[in-house]
Amino acid sequence: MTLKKISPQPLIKFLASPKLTVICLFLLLMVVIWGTVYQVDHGLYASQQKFFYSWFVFLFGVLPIPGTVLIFWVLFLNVLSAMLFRIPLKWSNTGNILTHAGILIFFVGSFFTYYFSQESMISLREGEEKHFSISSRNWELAVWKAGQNKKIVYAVDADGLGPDDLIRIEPLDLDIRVLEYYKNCQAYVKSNGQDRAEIRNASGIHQLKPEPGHKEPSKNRSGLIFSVHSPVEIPGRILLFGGDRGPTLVEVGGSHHYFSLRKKRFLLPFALKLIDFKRIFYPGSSIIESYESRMELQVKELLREVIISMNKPLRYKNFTLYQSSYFIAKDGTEYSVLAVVENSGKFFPYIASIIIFMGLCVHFILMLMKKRKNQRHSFER
Amino acid sequence: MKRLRNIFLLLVLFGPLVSMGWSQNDQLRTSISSLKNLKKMVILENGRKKPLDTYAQNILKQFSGRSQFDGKPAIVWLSRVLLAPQQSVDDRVFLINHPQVLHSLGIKTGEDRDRYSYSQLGSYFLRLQNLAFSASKLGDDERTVVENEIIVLFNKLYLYRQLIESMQFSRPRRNLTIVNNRIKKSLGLSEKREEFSHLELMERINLLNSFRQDIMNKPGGKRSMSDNEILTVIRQLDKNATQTDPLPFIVIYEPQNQTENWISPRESLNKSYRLHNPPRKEIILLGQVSEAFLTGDQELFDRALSSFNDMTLKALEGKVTTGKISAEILYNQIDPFYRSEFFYGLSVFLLLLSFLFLKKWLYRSSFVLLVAGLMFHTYGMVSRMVVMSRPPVTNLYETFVFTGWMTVVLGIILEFFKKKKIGILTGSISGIIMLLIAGKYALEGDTMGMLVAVLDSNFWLSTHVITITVGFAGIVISGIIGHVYVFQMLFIGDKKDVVKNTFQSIYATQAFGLIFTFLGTVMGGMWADQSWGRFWGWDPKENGALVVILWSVILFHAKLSKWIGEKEFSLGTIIGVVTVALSWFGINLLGVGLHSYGFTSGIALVLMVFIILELTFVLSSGFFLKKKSRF
Repeated sequence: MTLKKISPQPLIKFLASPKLTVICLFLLLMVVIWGTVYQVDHGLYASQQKFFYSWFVFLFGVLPIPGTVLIFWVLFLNVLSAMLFRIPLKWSNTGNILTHAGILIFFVGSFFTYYFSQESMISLREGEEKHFSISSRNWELAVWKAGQNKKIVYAVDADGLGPDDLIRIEPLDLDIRVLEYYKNCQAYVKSNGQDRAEIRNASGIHQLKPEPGHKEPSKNRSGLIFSVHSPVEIPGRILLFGGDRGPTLVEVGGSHHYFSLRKKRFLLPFALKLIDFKRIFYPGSSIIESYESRMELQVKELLREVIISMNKPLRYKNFTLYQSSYFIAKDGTEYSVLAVVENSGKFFPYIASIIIFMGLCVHFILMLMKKRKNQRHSFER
Repeated sequence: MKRLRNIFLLLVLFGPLVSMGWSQNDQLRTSISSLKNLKKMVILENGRKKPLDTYAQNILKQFSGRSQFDGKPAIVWLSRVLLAPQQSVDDRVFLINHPQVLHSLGIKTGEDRDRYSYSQLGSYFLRLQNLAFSASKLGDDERTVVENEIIVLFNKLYLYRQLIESMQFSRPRRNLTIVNNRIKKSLGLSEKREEFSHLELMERINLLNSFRQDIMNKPGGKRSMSDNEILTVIRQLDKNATQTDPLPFIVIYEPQNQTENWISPRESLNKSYRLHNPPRKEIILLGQVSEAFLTGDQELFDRALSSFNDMTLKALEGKVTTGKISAEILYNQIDPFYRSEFFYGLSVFLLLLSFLFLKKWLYRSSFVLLVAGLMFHTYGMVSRMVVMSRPPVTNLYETFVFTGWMTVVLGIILEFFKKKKIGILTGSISGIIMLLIAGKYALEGDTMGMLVAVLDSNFWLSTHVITITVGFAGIVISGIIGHVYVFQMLFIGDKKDVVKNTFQSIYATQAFGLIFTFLGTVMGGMWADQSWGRFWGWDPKENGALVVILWSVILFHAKLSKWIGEKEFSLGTIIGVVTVALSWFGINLLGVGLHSYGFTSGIALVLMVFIILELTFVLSSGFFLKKKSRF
């Protein structure tokens, strides 16, 4: 018996239709091809944002066509409806049902990853310890009081800020009004006809000029100009630049505050210290055979040594830390760069893949058996 | 009687082929008749320890696009380059594809595509160097094929010049002259000659140094003619020791602080000179090899090389084994993929003939030939696995070799069950095509190069890459049968059973391809998750595999929803081959993404032509099929 008989609504019929599957898959195919070619000129990040993490892609900037997120949602409903209302619940359909169940789990996993995963980086020199990672593309405005024994930093996401936005930092009783914010800009020491004294900046910068976003978003340098209104009105404006040499010190109502525009930081539930970084080359060549970071992982009182190398990341709860790259400073100091991925839905693809593969195999075998049976029947006849 | 006839046929077919490959004699212009031990010499190139035989083949392929010169193995040519350079200057090995390269050098006569010798090009070296230097300053998109070829040609000539320098230390040189017989006698040198080799003098370095000391200590700085002669020679040795540009002939194993370290003979000699040591035993043996080569002393040649090879292998302490070296030399000698191509080609030929006469007999022979080709193919892959101790697919070259193998296996399986000739036809055609494409990649250098760090995972490399390649093979074979289906529909459309049978093969192989492409892609995702902490990142290579899967799934669902029938499905599988080509090559042309280790260039035009041809075929055959179905 199938549930099709008791659910004849046209909407359900439409949702469960294999024709809808074909349309969605075809649209997805187009989006994937376009998004892949787009990476050549605009880079992976821009392509992800425009095609793969969006509801709509705008053709010629105006005509909306479904983006990957929308296609995935429709496909999810399509597969779910097909399983509930179209695919008959028969033993001969086991492969089919398993495959589609696996696909549903895949979708759940992708939604989890899309909405809840986080990617960041840690760069450590030998002997250095950190308990936070930094975003490679997002920025934050950080403020802290100067001259305190215990430095408490208050941070506000800078991405998405626009002119006239108000920021209230309650613990410091600060009211900030955003005047200008640029995702990527150039900084200039000379200003065009502006009163230099009006602008405060630790690096002596007096002007920002917006630039188009870099193909590789980690290379963007953001800039922020704002005024402080509380507890007292501070004359002039404060300019912060992503490439500042240090934080800008400003006196507000008798106490001094540091302001800084920096890459967004994520606190980790552990601290990491780089003990040693090692590169091994194949003899007589510049081809790297392997590189690895010997580290100390500290969680409260617990201290243990870990090794992160190519294809062997460190996994700690939902965090995966892998050897992303390295660089050597002019003074010869070696830095190891680790990518940090936090993904609570990482097991979904594994479960889904196993189920889909089993489903496909069962379906394939049943199909062959059916064909053989038919052939035998026609032969006997 | 029948069996005898089959044996006779096989002998006729196989006999010339076997003799063609295995009776090659390493004939030289010197009286050295066997280079067996020279082939076994271990050399380090791009981080890999390999027999000199492989090195010779790679270099000759890079230079001339061929693995043999003048019908003789590459090692014969390389032995002349290293040990008797004068004999190699007239060898026309430098392939120039574009006449404009010749014109830019000022050479007015020249064919469109031809090979030239060093004696023809050597005098233009400086000009070529300037041109190559200027061309290298241009951006990738600013250079044309001519500029690229100028750079390539310069690199070839530069490498050749370095190679002829590599064993220079063992040959008498004009700038190392001693006329005075008394000095020669005191140094133990032959009085019959005036020119001596770097090595001969280095063997007497302690004596020379003591002579220098005596001369320096002479009161009043009074020097005789013979004193000056000794000092001139020593000054020249000093000068030689300052030559630091690395030579490519890296055959001396010299571990340092427990790390593997290899140097060239000249570097070794310079090191000995700096430390006031006599040359290492290996260098003396190489000197004997050189001398024996020039004098034609086969016994000394073999003895010295044998001792040299033994010393190297002993020092390597099992890092390279004699077994692996011999296996690689045998692999080079048999050239299994070339033989596979030959058998596959013959198999197609006999199969086509079987449509005309001797149907049963030629059909069987073509099947036997396909299996024979597969045996060589398998041997080639297994040999590579043994030599490199790694899975069969680790680079782009091997993906073609493996996919070719898989398509032949699928063809044989299909033929075994269906016995309708389709399996043989598709298997052998795809086998040849894949091996020919692989052959093009082999011209770029060593096909057994070392793995970059990110690929250094035998488990994922063997599972992910092999599985996805098996999947691609399924999709490709399905598309090739799709072509057969179209021809059958157009020319024998009335034989419904035959066409139905073909469609079943298309459907089954497409399903097989989809399962394995999906599994391979998922395994790639798992590897990415294990290595990079994320399952999927919309990287071009990942998207390429997804395109193949999506197209295949679209075909099945469109068929299920009755939007398309058998004809359209079959035509769709041909487009499936295009998606595979795009995923395989097209993505590499983009030059972006995390999978940068698989990038390649120079195939854009071929790919474009292939896609246009396939799409034209699909559209035109779709048109004709529709037209035919109306009548």
